[in-house]
Amino acid sequence: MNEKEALISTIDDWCQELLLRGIDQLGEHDIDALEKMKLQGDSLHMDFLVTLLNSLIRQSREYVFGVRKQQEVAPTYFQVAAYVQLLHTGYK
Amino acid sequence: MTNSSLQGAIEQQFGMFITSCDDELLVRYSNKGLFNRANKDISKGLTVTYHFDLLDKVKCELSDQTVCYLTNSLDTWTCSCPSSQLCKHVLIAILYYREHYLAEATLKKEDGIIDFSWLITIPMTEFLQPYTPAMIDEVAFRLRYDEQLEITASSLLTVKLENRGIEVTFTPEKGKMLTRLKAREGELAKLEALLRYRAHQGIDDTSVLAARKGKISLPAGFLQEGIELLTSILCSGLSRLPEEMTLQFDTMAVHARSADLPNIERGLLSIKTELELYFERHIRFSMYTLLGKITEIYLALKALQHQATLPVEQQLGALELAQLTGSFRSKYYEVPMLHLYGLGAEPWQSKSLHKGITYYFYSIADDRIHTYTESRPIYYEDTSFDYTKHYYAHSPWQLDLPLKQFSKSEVTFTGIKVNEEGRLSSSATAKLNICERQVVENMQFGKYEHTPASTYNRGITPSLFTRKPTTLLLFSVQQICEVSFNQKNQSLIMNVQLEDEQYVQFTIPFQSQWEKALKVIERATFYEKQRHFIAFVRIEDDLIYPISFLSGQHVTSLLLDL
Repeated sequence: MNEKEALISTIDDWCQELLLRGIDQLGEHDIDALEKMKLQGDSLHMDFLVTLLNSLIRQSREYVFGVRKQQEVAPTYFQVAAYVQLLHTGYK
Repeated sequence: MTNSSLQGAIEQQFGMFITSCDDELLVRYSNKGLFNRANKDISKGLTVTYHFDLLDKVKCELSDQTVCYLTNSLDTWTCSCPSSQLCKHVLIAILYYREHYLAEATLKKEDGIIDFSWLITIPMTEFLQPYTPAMIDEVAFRLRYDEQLEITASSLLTVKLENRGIEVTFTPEKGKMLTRLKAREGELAKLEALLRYRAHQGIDDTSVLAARKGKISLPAGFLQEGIELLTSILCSGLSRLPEEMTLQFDTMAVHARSADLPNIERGLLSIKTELELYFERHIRFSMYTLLGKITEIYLALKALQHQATLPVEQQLGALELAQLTGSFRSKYYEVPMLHLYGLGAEPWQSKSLHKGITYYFYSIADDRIHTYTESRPIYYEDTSFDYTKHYYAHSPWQLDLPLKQFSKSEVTFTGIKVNEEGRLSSSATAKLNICERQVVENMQFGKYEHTPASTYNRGITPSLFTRKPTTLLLFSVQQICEVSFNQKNQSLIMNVQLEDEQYVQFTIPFQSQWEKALKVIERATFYEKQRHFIAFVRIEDDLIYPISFLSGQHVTSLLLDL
């Protein structure tokens, strides 16, 4: 498994886990995890993924700080999940 | 304009109309018999006098007292006789004028080239206007089956669909098509002939046909509700989701069906099934599948919702839209003739808790595999599906032919109904005829034959809204080198050497009901005997699942026969 595939499956795992926990439970540690994924994406030059992760991080933070409703995080979350799935089938 | 010059103009126009009515056109509009009778009456001495003093029509008085009025089209005329169809008198009025007044004008016609370009220059969308989506679907379906075309162009352009003996004639006049078939059949034949002609001329209308839903009206309320439902699942998370919420999916699915969004309907139902598996703590539940499904349906709903806000030129093309909305599988259309070569049968049990047997057939004429499936839902405790019972039960088309035998035969069907995916309908009206089965070694299986260069699921472009195809394939096998049971993934693995010296691995997942068959396959006395045969397999997720072994006239469906 190369680094890109590893990153993709890390994000995929995080997405699955969040579906189990729910966005309501989104917390600081999720933002940390997303930041880490973003840095990795940066170093692998996965620009589009980084753009998506950036907005997910921003929106998650806004939710955690209470300035955004949890429903408003969903669209970006699904975009990230879909993009990761596409990459996943691409590598298969 | 003076009265006489007006009359002159009308006379000239009428002359041009008569010029355009050559014998072939007249016969097409009426029939050969009527045309001959009209000619005969004229030769018997019937005469016609013409009056050009009316503004929009020409009065033609026949010497037998009949009076008819002609315009500059064969579609609008009136006659004093009671016929509702184009009558003999109209023919006489035209033929008589041609013979007696038109000697010089007919010559002029010869050098004009007759132009049928409207058939290809008018955009297909315009032709499709009068057709309902159901009719367009049916024609699009017919186009999948090959047809011999005979195209003849003289003063008229005739397209003959030879296999079915259907003829459609096009006139140089824009948009005019004629056929003997009446009502709906006639309209379908016209559209089919037109499309086949255009394809023959190198025009690709597939995207236009897929756009049959061009003007789907998207129920805004439904889309928003769907998005909210999926969002609420994501927000509260599976772990705190109340079980009753699966009921909402049933309601939404019904709405999706009435909004004609089949892909959304199927998606919602499979999310529901997946959620139920989760609540049951079922071993087959997969978070990956569930996330994939929810994401797909969420984005599809979003994309459809987004459509409404865009200006027309930025909206999705027809093909993409059809991908999002999908089409129902249940539409079956009649195929005039189908010649099928049995490839064996496979029992299965699906994620949505259905059990069944699928019978596979290769259709020689159009190089496609057709299937016949019997299945039952098994989510209620009192329903069950007995594979053996079904396998030995009689076929719907012929009482003394068990399905087992059917799956190993070569047959022809007349008037069988088939759906988009090549599934045969069980309606008993079709006529089944069993033919002498050819030996498999002499058969050509077209695109289903394995070649060393074949790549299966690899290389397909990843895409969100289209289903991953299952590949069916036939391998020429030299021998089975080894069979072993893999404890880790609970599957029987066969190492197989192909005729082209390649090696591949076949997998049969273990299920207790197939224990007997698997034991037989595992025995060296069985697999060592299998040499130089054809293996029919299904490829899914890079694994090769053998369905049957074929050699000579024999078919062995591995799980059902052993």
